[in-house]
Amino acid sequence: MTELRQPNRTQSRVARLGTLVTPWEWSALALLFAVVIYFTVTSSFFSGQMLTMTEAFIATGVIALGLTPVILTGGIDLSVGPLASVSGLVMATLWHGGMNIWLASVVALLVALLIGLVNGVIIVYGGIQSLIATLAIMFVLLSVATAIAGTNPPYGFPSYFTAIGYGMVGPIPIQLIIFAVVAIVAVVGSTKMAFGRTLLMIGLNPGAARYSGIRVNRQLMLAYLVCSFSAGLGGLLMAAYYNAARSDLGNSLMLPALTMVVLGGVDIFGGRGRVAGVIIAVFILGWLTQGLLSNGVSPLTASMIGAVVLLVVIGIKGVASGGLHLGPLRKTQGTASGGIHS
Amino acid sequence: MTRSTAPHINTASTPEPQHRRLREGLTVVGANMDFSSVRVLNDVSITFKPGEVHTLMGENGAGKSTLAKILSGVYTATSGDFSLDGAAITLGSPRVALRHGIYLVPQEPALMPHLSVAENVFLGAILTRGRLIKHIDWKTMRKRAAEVLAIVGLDIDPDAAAGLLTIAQQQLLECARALVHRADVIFFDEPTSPLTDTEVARLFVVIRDLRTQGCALGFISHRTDEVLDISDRITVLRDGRVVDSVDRSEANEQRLILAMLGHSLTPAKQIEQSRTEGGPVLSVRNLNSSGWFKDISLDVHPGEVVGLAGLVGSGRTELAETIVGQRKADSGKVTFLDKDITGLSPAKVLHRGLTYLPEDRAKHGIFADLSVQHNITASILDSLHRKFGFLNQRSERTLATEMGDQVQLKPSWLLNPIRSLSGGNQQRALFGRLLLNKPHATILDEPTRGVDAGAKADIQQMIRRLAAEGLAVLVISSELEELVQVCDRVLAIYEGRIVQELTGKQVTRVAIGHHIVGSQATHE
Amino acid sequence: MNDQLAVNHGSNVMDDSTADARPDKGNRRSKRWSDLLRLREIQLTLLIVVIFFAMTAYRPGFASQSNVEFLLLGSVVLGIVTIGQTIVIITKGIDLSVAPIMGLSAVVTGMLAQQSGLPITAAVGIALAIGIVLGAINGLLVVVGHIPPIIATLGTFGLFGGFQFLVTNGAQVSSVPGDFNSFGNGELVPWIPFQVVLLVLLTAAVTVVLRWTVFGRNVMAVGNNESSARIAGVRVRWVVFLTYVISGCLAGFAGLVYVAHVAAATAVTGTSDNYHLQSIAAALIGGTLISGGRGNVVGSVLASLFLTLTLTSMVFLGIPAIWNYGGQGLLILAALSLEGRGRASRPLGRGSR
Repeated sequence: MTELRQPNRTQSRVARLGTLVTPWEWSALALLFAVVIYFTVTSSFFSGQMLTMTEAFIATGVIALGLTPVILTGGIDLSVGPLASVSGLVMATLWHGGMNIWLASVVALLVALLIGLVNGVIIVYGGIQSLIATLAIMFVLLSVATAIAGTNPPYGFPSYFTAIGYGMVGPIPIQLIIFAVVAIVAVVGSTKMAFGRTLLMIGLNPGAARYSGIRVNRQLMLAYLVCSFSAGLGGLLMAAYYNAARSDLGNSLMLPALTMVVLGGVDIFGGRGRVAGVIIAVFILGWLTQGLLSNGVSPLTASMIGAVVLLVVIGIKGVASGGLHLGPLRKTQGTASGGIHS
Repeated sequence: MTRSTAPHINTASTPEPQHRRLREGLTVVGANMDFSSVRVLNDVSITFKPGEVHTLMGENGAGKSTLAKILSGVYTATSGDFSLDGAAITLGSPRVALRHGIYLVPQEPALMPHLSVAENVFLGAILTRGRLIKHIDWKTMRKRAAEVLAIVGLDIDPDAAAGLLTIAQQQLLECARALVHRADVIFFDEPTSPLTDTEVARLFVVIRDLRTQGCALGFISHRTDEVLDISDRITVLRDGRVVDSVDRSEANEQRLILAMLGHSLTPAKQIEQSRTEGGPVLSVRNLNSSGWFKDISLDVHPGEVVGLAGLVGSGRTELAETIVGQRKADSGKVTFLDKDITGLSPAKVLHRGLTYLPEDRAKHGIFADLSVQHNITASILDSLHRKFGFLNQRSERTLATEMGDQVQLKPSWLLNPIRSLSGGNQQRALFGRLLLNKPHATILDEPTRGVDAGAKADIQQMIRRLAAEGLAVLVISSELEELVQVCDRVLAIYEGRIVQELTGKQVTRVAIGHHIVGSQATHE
Repeated sequence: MNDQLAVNHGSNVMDDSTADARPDKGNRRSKRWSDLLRLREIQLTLLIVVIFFAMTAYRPGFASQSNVEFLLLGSVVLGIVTIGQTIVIITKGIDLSVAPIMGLSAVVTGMLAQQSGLPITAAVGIALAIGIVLGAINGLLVVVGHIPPIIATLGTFGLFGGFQFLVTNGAQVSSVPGDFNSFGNGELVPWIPFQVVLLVLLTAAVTVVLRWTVFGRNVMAVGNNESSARIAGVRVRWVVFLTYVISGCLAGFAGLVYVAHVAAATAVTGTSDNYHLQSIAAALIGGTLISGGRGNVVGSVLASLFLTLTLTSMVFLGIPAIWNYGGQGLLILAALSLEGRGRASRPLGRGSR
């Protein structure tokens, strides 16, 4: 019995999901290293400000971590931006109306979860593709956010709340600590629990997953719930950081968050990638952007540079792996009622 | 903008091309093919003569498909000399091969599902008309397509969307395409795997017809009975080398299998005899699904292997999927271990001990990029939990290793991505996945499809062995010989209904074949 | 490729205009009406007519000449962009950068007209050139860089959007010369703006190309089965590259129509109105499959009209502007959920015959 091809050593290593660091992550770490070195050298502020700088992009990072499970399954959630805004606005409005701000935050997160539930139901049980479904929901949330904000969106939160946004514990920003917690949960959840594995399986072959007895619909719902929760959390972090809740704060977050996910080695078509990579990418993009800003580059140019970095990195990946990568995001992920739709 | 266009034939300015008359045929001398560092073809020399069906036999990975792809331009050989009627040719691309009149009917029909049948037939040879403004000549395409489809016996509206065709129909469409391209050398890569006996017979009529017209035909298969039926000459490849090449008159099954494997096979049934005892493990009563099957009732007892025979499209896979909960039935009842499981979700059915091996390995079976180990443990992840939902990865490794052993997978393969395994070994891995659930019953849908002869025999023996150990097995197969080899009882399905049950000595190829086409006469 | 064969199990019952759904030779005469009703174009036309008459009944002013022209012109810009998007989606791609391409074209031509009196004819050339060049960048990224289209155009979305900011540099277009105005708002006959005629011609042209030219069939082939198309001799990379050039070109032209019609353009034109997302929505509602291989240009244009109509209706119904997006979103969801998953039941025991 001859095997047609002997897999090379890299393939074997990659196949072991328990590998410490994948080749992509090595490259990402190298890039991160390069970014940090570059700015430490070119900017006098950078090394001193590195940690506090993270406050500006942790919220996006949290959203990116939440997007990861959804993308691993081959779907996408375009609604995360306005969802974050809505979350912040719900919290702010309730607080403004007299509720305790922590309680208001919890309610805001519950609202985010509820929206995630709606997303999940529409996509998984309604059979509508995630791209267009979350696009439509994004539209709806845009209006909802503007409606909640009204003419005078609340601002000026108590200092113990905004402390989350720009407070510190010693030299470490509280946001960074929160991110560390979220990151640990994400890593553990994906490597030590079945959830991460099942997401990959669903992304690789939803039909096979179903035939293997995996509760695909349930796992997908979970993925969308995680995503919305993270978006809600990100929205709260933003509100704390900016000390205000506005309807447009979240709108520009989706693209950078998606960039972080893809930069982290997650395949946009699903089935491949690790949370660890995304975590590294959060800091690559975050420090790159902040570093540029602190060097006097305009926010516009900084975002353009971010776009170029994305294109170059994925371009290298694409050329290396060869072949056109045409294809939509995975087709409908759920089933309407029994039956197989792969 | 000629650069962006596929080869097309302008009907206004081009007369109908004539059939070339081959004299000597297509000859290969000393072909070698390397994929990275693996030598897949080693010094292969062979000739395909006009008016002859020359079959390439061999196990999966023996190189027969690769050779056909080289000859049709899909791959480029690392080295080797090719000549057509004595004149040297290079086969750099499929287009070049087509120009030489060489066409490959691929194993997986190349289909454009949203385009019409006619357009699919003319793929690569779209007809245009007009000299100033070149536009598509739908009318002529439709007409010629209808003609060619009639020749291959495909009774289909040329305007129909090709995605609606059954696999058998797709195969015939590929043959129609070969005709349209006026190919003189036509290769058929494992065309019969998804076909029923009737469809194979029809295909063979087309092939014999092409032979009479003077085409050189290359036929790739590992099914000895079909090979002995259709071939004029048989060449056997093993590990990329030619090990035997005979005229049909000198060939027999023993010799061919010996050449392919290097050893002979022991038929499965001689190995294990199974006994059934006690009541049925799986009971189906009056199961209905409109459009697929009607009023199905059957029992499977522990220790017995029951076969489900039928034509492609007779509803067997749909029946299996309904039993295990992947589809909803309109009415009827499924009982498993004395409990009603009708309408339960597939996950629940699986966890109760009724497993299902899907027909389509690629689509519903393997997670290509995951390791073999992860593929094997895919359905028992739920039970590998420690506290707080953490995965017990050490147990996982142990279980996978032991199961790998049981299904004869080398331990060193376990950590490789499953796509690097041959079809037979992938199937073993999937068996492993099933068995880890400790099932009481299992439904196997085409368990040896796309599996080479050696692994096939092993799998068939494994099925008998599992039954002997007490497993209740329901096997769906389109290979009548396999059913005869493996099953204690066979249920013949025709048009969604069980029309006959054959037991013991009644289980013969002829009898089964009789009933699955709805023949009423009693068998001999 | 195997995913496509899921069509075999009777997925979307709603038909398209490319091929008949039933393979049997018989049964073509009967069920004529239900077939027609299944055509997405017919469904949309009916919807549009129904909504239009309902709104007119509610507010007779809805059917006024100025409103009808406004409706039609509003859908022209979206329609042109959507046509380009449709072609890209057919090849299993997507173009998120149409919004900034449109915006850049609007801003550049508008500013040149406003500041230097650029004549409309030259403006057309510039608009097309901008679209072609930017579309070519997209094409190169996908075809040479092997970057998945969604990511490539995500990147160029940011990049071109940045260009748009740089070009405007804080200024904006607030007026356009007369010839622009006639280009954008002029009418051939009363009630029918010139641009609408252009759109109709464009739709016809693209439909003809897709159906009757070798290039068009190549586009369909690539979207159906890339590897088979390649083996059959189609130059897949070139075809895909061209689809992005076409999409960019059309987006560029749409930008010019926009600025000529609205007489305004800013650094966020195109992006602020989410033309990228709207064009995707319109294409899908119009019957194009996101999984590629099947497209409906007429449907896309009708869907653009449909979306614009509903937006205008919301305004007329007094729904506050902040709910514009929300309304559209709900509409898209409703439209797509109606697509349903009707399973065509197969007759028993088809076997091989």
